[in-house]
Amino acid sequence: MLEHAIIFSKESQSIILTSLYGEVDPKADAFKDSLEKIREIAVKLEKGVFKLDLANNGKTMIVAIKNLSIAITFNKIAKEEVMNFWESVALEILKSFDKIYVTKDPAKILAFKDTMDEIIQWNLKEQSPIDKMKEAFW
Amino acid sequence: MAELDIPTIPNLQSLIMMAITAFSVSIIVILLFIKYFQRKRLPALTLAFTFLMWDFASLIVFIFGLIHYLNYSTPQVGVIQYARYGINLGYAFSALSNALMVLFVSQIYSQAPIFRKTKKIIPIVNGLLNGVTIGFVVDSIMQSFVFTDVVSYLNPAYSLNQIIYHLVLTFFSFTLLLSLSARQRRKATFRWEKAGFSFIVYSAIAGILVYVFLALDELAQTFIPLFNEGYTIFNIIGWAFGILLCILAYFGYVMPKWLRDRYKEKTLEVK
Repeated sequence: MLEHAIIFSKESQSIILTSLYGEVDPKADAFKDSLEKIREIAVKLEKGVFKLDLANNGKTMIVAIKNLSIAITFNKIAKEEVMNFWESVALEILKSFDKIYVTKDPAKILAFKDTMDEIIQWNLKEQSPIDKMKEAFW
Repeated sequence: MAELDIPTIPNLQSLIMMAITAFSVSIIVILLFIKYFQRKRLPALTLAFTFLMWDFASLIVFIFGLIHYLNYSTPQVGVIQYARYGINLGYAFSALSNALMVLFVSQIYSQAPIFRKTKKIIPIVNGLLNGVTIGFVVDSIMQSFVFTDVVSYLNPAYSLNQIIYHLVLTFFSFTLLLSLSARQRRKATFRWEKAGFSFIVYSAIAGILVYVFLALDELAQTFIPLFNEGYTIFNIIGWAFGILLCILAYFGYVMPKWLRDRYKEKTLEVK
């Protein structure tokens, strides 16, 4: 369901970190045009969330705080509650990364990829509380 | 602390409230076990056992209180203080309930960053801290058999420190449930889902208030001469919050179909 995550710096208007979770590699030629559209929005978006439909029925959710943005791409149109959930995960990643990014330490910035992967993999593995409540009680 | 050791006699109003609370919790326990056998999901089993421990707590306080009420009409020293054995054992079962409550929260809200970062450390540490409460209880009961002075013999103490310690742990477990449920309520899409989490939040508040009022009862009888006979109005209010906790838990966890449909209809009307 989740293809990849990309963190952008608004200051340098460029990609800082990428991580692949599905099959669509953000660095692949086939994704080049989509990536450019995502980058344009990500570096301009001041704060909040923007949802961009992609040509292959996928969708990218871009979440921004003051200096940084993160784009999370899904391989299909996800339900609203799923998008809301990933928006909160995206915000958590950005806020954690912001603390690392201000240090401008390349080693720490690069090491954050492991943290981002851990957060995303954990959330992919664990069911949402709503789903658990529905399965167990409701 | 000497005032705490003077025996008191449960009054009829408190006993009635205890009985209604124990009956209400029993119903919730049965409904939660039915949920578990229907769905076979671990969180349902954990919550059923959480309420079962709370059921044992309320039942034991009631039964021992009733035995005491039927045996003695006035406070006496040197006789078996059944009610105090009941209260101590009630705190022990309540401690088990606290430990299971946090385990339940860690199962349902496992996606929360706090559980991602700490894995199972919180429920384990919380379980150990609640074990200390059980240690206090065992110590009080054992000491009551070996005391030689007439006031303390067969009169297990339940000190204010023990009550406050248990209140703090209860506050922690219900606050954890409350805060994560409130956060989830904001993320929920449908009105009936939001309602479910709201009832859980309100049940957690009621749960905290049960122990706050039981602690106030103890404080009042210790420090206010007017209340020195014990089983004050705070005790009755505390048990009343226990009944409210059960009603809200029924709405929040069991969520009968009529309640869910009521919120679903409203969703359609809004659209």
